[in-house]
Amino acid sequence: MKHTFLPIIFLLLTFFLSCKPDAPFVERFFFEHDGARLAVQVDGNLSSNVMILFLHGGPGGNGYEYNQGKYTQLLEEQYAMVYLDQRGQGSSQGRYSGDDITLQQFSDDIDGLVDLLKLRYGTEKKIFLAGHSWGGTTGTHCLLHTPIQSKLAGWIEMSGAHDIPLINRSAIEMFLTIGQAEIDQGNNVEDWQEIVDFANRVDTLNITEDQGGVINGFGFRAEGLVVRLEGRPVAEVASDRFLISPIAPLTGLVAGQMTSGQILEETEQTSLTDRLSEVTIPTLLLWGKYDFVVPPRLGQTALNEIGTADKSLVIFEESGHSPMSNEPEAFVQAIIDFVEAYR
Amino acid sequence: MMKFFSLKRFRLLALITLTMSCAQVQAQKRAEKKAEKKAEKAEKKAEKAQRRPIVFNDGKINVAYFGGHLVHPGVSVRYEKALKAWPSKRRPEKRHKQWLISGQAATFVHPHQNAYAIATAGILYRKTGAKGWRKEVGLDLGLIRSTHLQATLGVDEGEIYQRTLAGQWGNWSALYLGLGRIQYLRKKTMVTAWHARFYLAAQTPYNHAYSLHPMLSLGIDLPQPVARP
Repeated sequence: MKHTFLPIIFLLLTFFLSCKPDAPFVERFFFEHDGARLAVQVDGNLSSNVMILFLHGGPGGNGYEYNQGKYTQLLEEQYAMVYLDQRGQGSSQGRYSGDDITLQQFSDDIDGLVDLLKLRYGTEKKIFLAGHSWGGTTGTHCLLHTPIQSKLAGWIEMSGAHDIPLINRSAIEMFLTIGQAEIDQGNNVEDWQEIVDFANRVDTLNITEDQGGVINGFGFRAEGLVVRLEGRPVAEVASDRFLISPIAPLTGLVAGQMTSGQILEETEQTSLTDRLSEVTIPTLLLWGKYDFVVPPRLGQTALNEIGTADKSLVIFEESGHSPMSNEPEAFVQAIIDFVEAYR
Repeated sequence: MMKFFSLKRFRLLALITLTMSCAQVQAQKRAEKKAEKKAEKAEKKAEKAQRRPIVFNDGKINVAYFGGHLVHPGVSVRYEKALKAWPSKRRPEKRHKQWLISGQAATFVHPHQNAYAIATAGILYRKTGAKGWRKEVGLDLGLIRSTHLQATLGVDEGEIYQRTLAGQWGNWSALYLGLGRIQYLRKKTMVTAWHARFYLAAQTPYNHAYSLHPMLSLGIDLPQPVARP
């Protein structure tokens, strides 16, 4: 008989453990668009009249990961932040064909969401679009392939991957220059040597899709080897908060991986540098000096190509691929300066 | 010839015959004793089995916590009925195996996303050990309905629309492994059981593919009178 109570006690414990308080937010909703229901969370200072729509990285990431850390707190004190889980990722749901996983569809989703935000929160709201990493791919694509520019107050690109072939070539250059310098100083010699040896073997005029994947992997690894970045805070990922994440971790992982697999081929061939002159809205480019994943060379070329005089590039000297996590205060200040100038 | 049937030889022959017959009698006695002991043992076993009978499910209702993980709670009601049950070869008075069919209605919630309702039918194989421990593996197939907990908004011709109870239907297939134990109540006239099951379930379609749900079920059978096969 006494054994009967053990599972009952366990059941009760489970129930009480389930009652976790929710983090404060302004609003959460699903945005229905072309067969998908995209998860959207609005946080921060809605009375500021400024909204920053964040596009996450990946493919396979989620908006929730960008709603963590010090920079988010600082930005949310100033402005309303909109965290979007793009199609097929994070908590976004729906029912549609794999053929609908295209950059054009991602762009149409973002454009549609901006329409919704204007209607819901008022046309007087100044909306800035911000994209990190692969969010820079979808964001730039959206600027060039939808009428969104007329609805935005500005574009903030953070280590944005708007030109994958250029990323691969530039990453190889960084592996060779920074890698060799680190070897010369005797820092993590064995690891750097492996990366440098790989970089020496790659024909930069003919980089395959597989090699692109390896370059991406080595990019993250190289960032972890840079002595100057040691001790810097790093980006949080959703799995760090497994139990309180609004995203079912396994569901998010599977959906993200499948979406990533579906879009990878198109992403790998994406090169938007030649069309950046068509971006005519105020633009802020934010890059980490030691970003091997999306090298700062992309920021420099974007600065040259973008078709407006209202543009600037900020390179963070002690950051890698996620300057918002590595140098949150400087990162937030750069955004505030930009937003205040163009709101 | 006469020499062959000598008295000495006759005595020897008689002695051998006598010894052999004595041994035969003794062996017979030993066999009888052994049979008696065996019968006694079987009787004792039968008596013991009467005291602690085998429990086969003729039809049981099970209620359980049924959640995505610890912070995605839910509840399940499940009916199980034995299709076939048979004692194990070893210690058959206590150990047995079963094939069961089941029907389940459950609901669980992901606090930030959806409330889910599922209805399934399934089959499961269960082994019950000598001390009442149960191990099981099963498969459930059914339907799932997800309903968004947040508002669902869209834009149509420049106007916002809102869907009430938006969500989607899908197929639900779940494979699970379980562990549990039989518990006797009221001087062994009533029986119940608890279980812990780990499910890996797939919801299709979800986005352009599928979604995986790891589920945990912790529950008890509603007590019922002890039954014999």
